[in-house]
Amino acid sequence: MSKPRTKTEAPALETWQQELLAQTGELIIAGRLVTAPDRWSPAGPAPAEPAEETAPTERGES
Amino acid sequence: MTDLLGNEHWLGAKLQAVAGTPETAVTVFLPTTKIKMDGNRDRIERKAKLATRYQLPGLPGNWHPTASCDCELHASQAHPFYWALGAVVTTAPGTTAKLHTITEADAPPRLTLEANKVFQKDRQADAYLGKLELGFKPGEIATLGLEFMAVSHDDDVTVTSTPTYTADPLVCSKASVSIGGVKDYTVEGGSIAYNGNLEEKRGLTDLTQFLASTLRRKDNAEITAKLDFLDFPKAYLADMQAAENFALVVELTGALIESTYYKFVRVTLPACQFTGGLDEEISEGLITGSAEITAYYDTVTGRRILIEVQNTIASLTA
Repeated sequence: MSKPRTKTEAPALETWQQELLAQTGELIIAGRLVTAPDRWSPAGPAPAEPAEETAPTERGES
Repeated sequence: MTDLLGNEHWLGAKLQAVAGTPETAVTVFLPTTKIKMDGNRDRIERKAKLATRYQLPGLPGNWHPTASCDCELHASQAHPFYWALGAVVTTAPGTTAKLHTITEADAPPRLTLEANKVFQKDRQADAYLGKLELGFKPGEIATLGLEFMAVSHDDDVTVTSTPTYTADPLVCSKASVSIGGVKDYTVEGGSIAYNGNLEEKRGLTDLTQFLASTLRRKDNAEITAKLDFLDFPKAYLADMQAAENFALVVELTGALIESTYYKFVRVTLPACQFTGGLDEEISEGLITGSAEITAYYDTVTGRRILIEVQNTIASLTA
């Protein structure tokens, strides 16, 4: 009889892992890619989500 | 059935605070392709046969703990260079970018090593990185070959470390070799090797039986390099024959960190001399060259080797 499948959760990070993750932006921990939540990007901070979606404008034939 | 495939092996290290006291967990995991950790225990042979006519089984003797690995070189993992050479100064040229300047010191730092050998996990304490070899070839990830020597070894231990890897390997597609200040793009690969010339010596001790009691530097560390050329380097042969010295700079460049600061690993050997390897048998084939180089002490800069690493890691000594 097979065991019931359980959902695997991301491992809780130890202090040194949290510090290293903050410095590097991403780590592979126990085989899983973990990305820092506030990852810094060379292009600058991530743009804020727009408050409301704007309807796509139709392109007119030229 | 236990899965004994070797794919999940790992080797980790941590700087050790107290001599003789292993750290309880390791925090720098090397992205290895292969590992080796062995206690290399002696067997003390019996001298007398005690009226049996045949050789009696030996007694357990001293340990000679060693470990080694081949791994990828990651921009965020300059630690092995510091472990081998022994001195590092970290500065912050940018907001996030950190520049680690690694040079030679009298004694390398002491490490605790842990290895997952799949069938068992081992731990070694008071380990020194005795040999390091950086390999680079265009189109491939730069590699490190590391050889450790330790004072203690524990077989089949329980470890609590979680393998944690950085994710920025340095692909050698953006690398340059500068010889005497002039970049040379006819180098198709090469290596730089640091041999700490460490040896293990047994001394009398009344503390712990059979341990390898002392690691010492038996001679000055040696730094050598090897370059493979696409074409025969005629100009450098003239330098070799004139016994002039030149600076060799190998630079591996990684991703942008911020502004104009990139991740990189740069190895500078300020006073090199060719020591051979250019003699080629002439036949109908293409004439190329493979140069062996030795790094000497440079009286201008006051050093033999300088390794600069730029990444986002705050400290290599934490």
